Amino acid sequence: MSLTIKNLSFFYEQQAILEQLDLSLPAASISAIIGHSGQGKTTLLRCIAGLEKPTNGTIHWQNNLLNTKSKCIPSWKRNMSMVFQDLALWPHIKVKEHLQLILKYNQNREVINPTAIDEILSTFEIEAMSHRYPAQLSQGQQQRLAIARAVISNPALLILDEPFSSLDERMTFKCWNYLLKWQDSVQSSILYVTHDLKHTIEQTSHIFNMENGKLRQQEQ
Amino acid sequence: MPDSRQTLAIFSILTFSIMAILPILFLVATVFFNHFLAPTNISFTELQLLFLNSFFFSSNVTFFTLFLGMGLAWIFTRTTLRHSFIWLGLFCLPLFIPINILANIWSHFLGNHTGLNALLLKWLPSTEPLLNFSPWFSASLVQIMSFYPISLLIFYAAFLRWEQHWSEACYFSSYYKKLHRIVLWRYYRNYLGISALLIFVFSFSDFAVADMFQLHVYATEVFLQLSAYSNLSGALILSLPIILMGIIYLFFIYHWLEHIPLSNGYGNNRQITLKILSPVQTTTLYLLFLFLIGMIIVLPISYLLITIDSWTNMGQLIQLVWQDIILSLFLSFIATTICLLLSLALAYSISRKLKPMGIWIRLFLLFLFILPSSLIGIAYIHFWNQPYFPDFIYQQGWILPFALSLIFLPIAVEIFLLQFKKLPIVEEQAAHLCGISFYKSLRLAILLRLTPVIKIVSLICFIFCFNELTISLLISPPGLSILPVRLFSMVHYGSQSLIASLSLLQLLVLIIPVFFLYRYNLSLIKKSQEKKGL
Repeated sequence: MSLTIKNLSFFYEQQAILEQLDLSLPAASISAIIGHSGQGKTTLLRCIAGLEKPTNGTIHWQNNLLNTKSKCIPSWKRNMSMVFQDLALWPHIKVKEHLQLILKYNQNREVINPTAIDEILSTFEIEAMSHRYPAQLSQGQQQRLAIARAVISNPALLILDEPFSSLDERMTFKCWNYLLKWQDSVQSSILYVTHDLKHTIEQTSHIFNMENGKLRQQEQ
Repeated sequence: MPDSRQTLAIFSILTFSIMAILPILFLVATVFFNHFLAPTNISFTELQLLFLNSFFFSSNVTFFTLFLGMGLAWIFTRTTLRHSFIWLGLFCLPLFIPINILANIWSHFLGNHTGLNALLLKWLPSTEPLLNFSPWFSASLVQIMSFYPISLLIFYAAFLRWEQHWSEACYFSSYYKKLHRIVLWRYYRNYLGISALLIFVFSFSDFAVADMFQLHVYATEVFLQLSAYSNLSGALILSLPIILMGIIYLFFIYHWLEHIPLSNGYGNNRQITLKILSPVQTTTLYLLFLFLIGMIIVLPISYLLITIDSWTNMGQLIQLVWQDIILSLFLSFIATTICLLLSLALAYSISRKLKPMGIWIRLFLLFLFILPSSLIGIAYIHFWNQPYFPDFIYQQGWILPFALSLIFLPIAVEIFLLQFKKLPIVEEQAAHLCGISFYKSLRLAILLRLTPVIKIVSLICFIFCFNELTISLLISPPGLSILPVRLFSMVHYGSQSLIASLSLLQLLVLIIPVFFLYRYNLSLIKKSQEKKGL
């Protein structure tokens, strides 16, 4: 098993957001979490990514225990990447520089071809905007840039929080196909949260439904 | 609709041309054709020394001012310190104290035979002054204490706008600390650049402090050339290095202003992790703040009160200067209104209508900002004191509020431009499509939303105009007396008690309306909350 979560709980101001949650994902799999708003989907992703410290429970990733009561392995040592729901693009940094900076400050930079930046910009159809700032892009272009920034470092687990919410059908299809191709070539895992499985259900191996902080695996 | 927008643009450009572009071009043309080769009474070596002296003085002031303002802003926004908003208010109080008053108080307090030294000489057996403060040190101290609220407010806004998610997006890189540092630096360098430039320009062109401490710097020399020798070409030649330096800066400031991130949040904002302060750290900070507030506010004000010998004379003084006070208030009010209306019209026209031409107007505005105010004053005299204009325009002081409004106009335009960038044009278009006229939709979609900013800009503009000295000294026609000018002339021949009384009066005249405005604003907020049933 690649990612194993056992008995995970997360409390925010004494309110349970996640409650004794279990999850197992095989390596190089594509999994989705669905559910209504406010059910704790984003919090679960943030716990996996190391942005929140769980109150109880354990997360194992690639045979390593990521968190104990006293210690929590930081995000930069987990070999993961995340696309945030609000994208979290740096508003003062140009499109191309977003990708250049990630490449420059990533330990995998030796194995990545620098032309990957142009390739990825072209795949996501934002190469013409490479010298613009995020505020000068449309919502869809911003979303594509956020995805490009996350995949350029080739993480072992890509976490996506509502990745296609602002994209039209054509672009969703294109981005999804690119992600599938990328996942196939690097054999990484993808875990994403979505409201709409229309375009992605075929390739998704595991679907979980989240309700009141608990996960339930769904039959496809 | 486009016609009304065009009319507004034409009106604003015409007004701006009459107010600023024409007088300055006229001055440059006059110097070029009549005085270009006129000899100056200052050698090139002297000029170099003067420039270097002023440059190092202003750089020194800028460095410490930034350090103080940035440090305070960091504590107020990034720690769990309680009542940080009240502390912020207290630390911004120096904005209300005119720099010439502060300079006068400190020069007396740190003088060789007055203030601190006089106190020490009473207790210790010595006839020589025990503490000798250099004019450089004293002038720097006064400027730092006067200008740090600028960097404090700019960095307060910068720190508040930073989002936790921007840091979190760095966490997935192996060398996240380096990446985070780069992303932080690229963000803060805009704010750092703008505040450094503002403070440097204010310090470089400040005449009051240098004059009080007898520092031979650029601002005093330019003023001396104009007022003592009536040497216009000398003043302009002296101003050339400042203007050249300003033009180099213009490029950077234009770039920085364009790329300051304005929106904090695509929604779902997360709280920045604050540094939790231990009780010892909190106590230390409180003590440090009390010391700083004591030094910056309490000590000068108390010393001002102590030096007033006879309080009974205050009544007589008010009788003597009440007309000056009314006139100063009236002029500042008119100047603020002109500045507000013109800056709104210009900013709106630049952002919505004058796309290519707007850049040139902005550059000219920034050029106006770096131009020494004494030159603006002399440009006004040259332009308006001509036989083809009616005499009363210059002789009755009608041009004074226009000249005063130019001091704050560049900053006001930039503030409103930043605000207009945040307001989407579709909101106005939606109002137009509902059949609402251009000017009504302007009020509905823009002015109402900008009310808090308009109030702040008006207040700061009013304070700037009320305390302005250089232009007032140059332009005030004979017989027209306003409060800062009277105080300035009194500094050189009046008694310290009289100067202190007048300074206190100027402070009160400023603080009382500001206080009532604050109370009125609070009551409006309470009323609106009551209406909402909060």
